[in-house]
Amino acid sequence: MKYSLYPGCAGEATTKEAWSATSRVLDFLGMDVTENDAYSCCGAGIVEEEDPEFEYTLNARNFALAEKEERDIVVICNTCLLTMLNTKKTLAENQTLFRQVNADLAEIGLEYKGEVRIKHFMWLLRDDIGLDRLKELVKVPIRNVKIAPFYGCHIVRPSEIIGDDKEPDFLSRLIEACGAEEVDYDHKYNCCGFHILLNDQATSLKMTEKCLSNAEKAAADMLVTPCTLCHISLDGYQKPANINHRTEIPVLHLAQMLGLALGLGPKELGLDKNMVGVDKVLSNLRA
Amino acid sequence: MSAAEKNKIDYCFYKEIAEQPKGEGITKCLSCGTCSSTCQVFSVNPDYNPRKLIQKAVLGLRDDVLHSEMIWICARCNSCIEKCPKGIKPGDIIMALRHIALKEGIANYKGVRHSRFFKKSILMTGKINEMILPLNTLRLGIVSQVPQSIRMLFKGKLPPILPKRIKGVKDLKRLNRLIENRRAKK
Repeated sequence: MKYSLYPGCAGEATTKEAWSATSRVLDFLGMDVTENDAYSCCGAGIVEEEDPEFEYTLNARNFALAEKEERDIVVICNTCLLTMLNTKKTLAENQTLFRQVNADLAEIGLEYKGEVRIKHFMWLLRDDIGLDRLKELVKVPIRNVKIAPFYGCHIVRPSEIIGDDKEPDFLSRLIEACGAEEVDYDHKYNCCGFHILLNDQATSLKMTEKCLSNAEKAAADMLVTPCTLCHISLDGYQKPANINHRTEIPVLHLAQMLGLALGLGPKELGLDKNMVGVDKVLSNLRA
Repeated sequence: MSAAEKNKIDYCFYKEIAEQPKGEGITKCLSCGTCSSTCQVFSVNPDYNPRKLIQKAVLGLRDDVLHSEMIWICARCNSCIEKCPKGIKPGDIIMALRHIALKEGIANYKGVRHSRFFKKSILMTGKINEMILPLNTLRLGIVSQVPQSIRMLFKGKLPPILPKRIKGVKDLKRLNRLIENRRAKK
């Protein structure tokens, strides 16, 4: 399977470490992955609020670029995932719109055939590599650490677009595969509040804190998330969200956790870029 | 806007919503409140009540609904869409309300500025400029973000002021012109 890595706007700016860590891990796993500097923003479902047709056309252009290279798209942001799948579904169900979008794309020399597949990095690990193989590849098990999975909304809901598995458990199994102890808690499918971080920051941070303190009460040493936007809220904004002055909880990107277990270095996984220090985890690894 | 203006009833408002993309569910709402009980924003901020918001829209309180921050506080967690017993997708109805507010040119709300910025930014560089986005949404309120920005600066996580342009920004502008010209002809 050939892939094209789509880092998303956050992955290229605020959470660059997720992009590089994912690239490193994909290289390590021997995947055929390239990048493309012609990809635009997916519109995040926000362009759709103002101008739905423009958002579908933006995505169709990205899809056409990937199809031209005969590659499927792999994303590291849940909202990119949902937005792209939403466009794919909308265009598949509306042939008039599909033809119209393609007529526009023809003007810039592109065609969207409807063939490209969109996969989250987490789904790629699940479907293309598999837990058993990943277990074999783990070189440095993350022992003595309790990790709480945080899936994020847009990799779970709405099931009409994402798929029927309303309570996925792959992230939990992956935590165990990496040698850590998985923490089961109420808020693993909850919302981090990211999408209203600017529209209503007080509410957004309350939502973030609810997830973090729930994980802390369940005795989690850290969290892991497959979504770069969730990471901005949970890690980047943990300090202002932490009104009760609980112990800070490090939050790893999915690729950072897996990368550590595969034996990649903390530096190349960008662990120094996490806002909440991850020294605790690293010292456990060395112990 | 005066209280009298806000209470004016537009009996066709629910029809207008139903005609928007993703708005068709509104005609089937029973106002059972499942959306609010599952809403993750409501659980920490009771001022945001999707059941009440949608009921107001059904009753035709058009200006009350559109001239307010409320429709911009949905965090799009999609819990209500998953749980609604009538399958009407309450979150999508909120998106339809945003669509009307944006078409109408209702300004002065953070949410409106936030939404509008996305397309503008994409047409300039192909990406979201994460440095300008908060400034554009919060305006003077940006002062409150200074401590956070300093923390990010020390981690080298402050986004660049001028992000790299993608290859083919011209193509995006061309696609947008095609769409807008078609719309103007309708």
